Amino acid sequence: MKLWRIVGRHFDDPPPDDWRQRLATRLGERPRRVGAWVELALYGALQCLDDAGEAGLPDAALLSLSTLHGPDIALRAALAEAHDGLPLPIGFLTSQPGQALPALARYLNWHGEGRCLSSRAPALALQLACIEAGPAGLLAGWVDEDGPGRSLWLRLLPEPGPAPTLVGGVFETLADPAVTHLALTGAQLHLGRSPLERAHG
Amino acid sequence: MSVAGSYLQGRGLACALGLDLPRALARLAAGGVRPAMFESAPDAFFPAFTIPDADPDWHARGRRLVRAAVAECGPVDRSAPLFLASSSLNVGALEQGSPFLPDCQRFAEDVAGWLDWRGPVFWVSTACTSSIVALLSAHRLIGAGEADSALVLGLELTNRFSSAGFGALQLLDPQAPRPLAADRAGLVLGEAVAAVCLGRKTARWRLRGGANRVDGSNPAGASRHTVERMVHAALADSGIGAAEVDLIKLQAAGSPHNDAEEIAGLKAVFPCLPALGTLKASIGHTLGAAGAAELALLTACIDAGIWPEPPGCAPDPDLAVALAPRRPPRLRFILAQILGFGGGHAALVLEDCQESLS
Repeated sequence: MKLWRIVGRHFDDPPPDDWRQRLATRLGERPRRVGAWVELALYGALQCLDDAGEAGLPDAALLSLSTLHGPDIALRAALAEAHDGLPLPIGFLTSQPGQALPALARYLNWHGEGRCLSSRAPALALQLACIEAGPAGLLAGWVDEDGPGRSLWLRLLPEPGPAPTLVGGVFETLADPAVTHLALTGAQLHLGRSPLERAHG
Repeated sequence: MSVAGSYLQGRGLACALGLDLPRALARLAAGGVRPAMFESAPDAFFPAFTIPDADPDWHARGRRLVRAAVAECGPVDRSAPLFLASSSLNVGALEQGSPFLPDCQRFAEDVAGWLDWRGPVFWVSTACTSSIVALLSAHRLIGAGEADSALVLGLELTNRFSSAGFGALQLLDPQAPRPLAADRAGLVLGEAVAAVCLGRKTARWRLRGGANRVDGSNPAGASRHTVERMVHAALADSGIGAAEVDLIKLQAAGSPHNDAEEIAGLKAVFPCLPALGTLKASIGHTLGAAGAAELALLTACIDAGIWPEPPGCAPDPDLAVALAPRRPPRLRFILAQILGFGGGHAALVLEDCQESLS
């Protein structure tokens, strides 16, 4: 069982009301030619990297963006627009889930391996990413616009050192800053709390 | 490096050439098919390659095609992981008035239900590279011992929205696909349902490895530098050198920009380019299904001794390359790549183990 250390985390659920303004402030501009779902992904991913103390995501790190709804709101709008003629290019682009990746690449200063996928159990997407990631680790996100929205992210690195005691846990427990390590068997999460340090502290 | 590899246990394909691989190969050997004009929006027509199944009911047609493609694969373990690779999902059904589903994953689960699938279900959506990304995940799950097999289902079915969207972006050729041609003018979209089963059991075709790289500089196109980086990574992951590649199955969809970037990137890796091939002129660009559809068709062509004849277009002198007119004499290692929309750059390295033994 591969052990991972949580070096960055953004698990505010839901995001603050002014998350778009915070994103624009963080970037120094409003992101261009992207929809709200991608903006929400950018907001959480950047917060997570800030928490990890990283200016950008290393190219060798894997980026996994998981979603149940994707840019559903933009898709509905673009489909309505396309009913009577060609949709506007920006409308079509913002309706495509895959367009989140180039935006993340641009703003995270990253040119690596990435994917956008969905799975019913959030831990399944994490398990897949953990199997595929290498020594540079991974940045995993779960982003959805429905309701108040959510943009949950973890930055993980392989833990070569001794494992703390691991106990079974549920996905929501990852919000707890005291949880510093994780491992997976299938979709089953095993979580550890280091007694000596906060993961990135 | 993931050299141990996974093997191609089965494949099935419905595309414009035919409802299954035997019919597709027969049609290809007889000269292939031409795209038909498709109404993307009122008074907006673009050519498209459509599967020869005239059922107007999107769901009934999709269910039948999916079941047939998976049945063509042969026996599959229905408790294994299932990766649905698609960029348009069920948009065609929405256009026919079907209600929006509660979420995207629900459609992937509906497809799993058509197949009585019991294993974990993922929907992968990275635009044109979706199937390659899914195949790489399946390959790594098997390599890590987390699964004995996995099924990748590439699905891209008729809908006006994809065609209209690419048309609005001025990425479509108004006539026909002209890969690497001097007068190439864009993509021609195609439908495909492709099933590829990977597993541990030794078979003729081995997936050695691959790579996937995202570039944020152009959300709608390829970058030569990222092509170069991605191919180096794919070769390293597969444990082979550039000189060992016998064939490159190109993206070559006929895009003026992307075809040029693809060739420039490859020339930076290969001092002397190996034989080049493309299937876009035969089945169109099948978007999220393309990686699986082209893998199924290419390996079936090689198994059957059929070579997709290049379209008779005048080559672009600036590219200074040509598509192979016949099967290369030696075909042990094949680099199969898909590039483009969403900044995706991805490739697989296939090994013909029969050729390796000989």
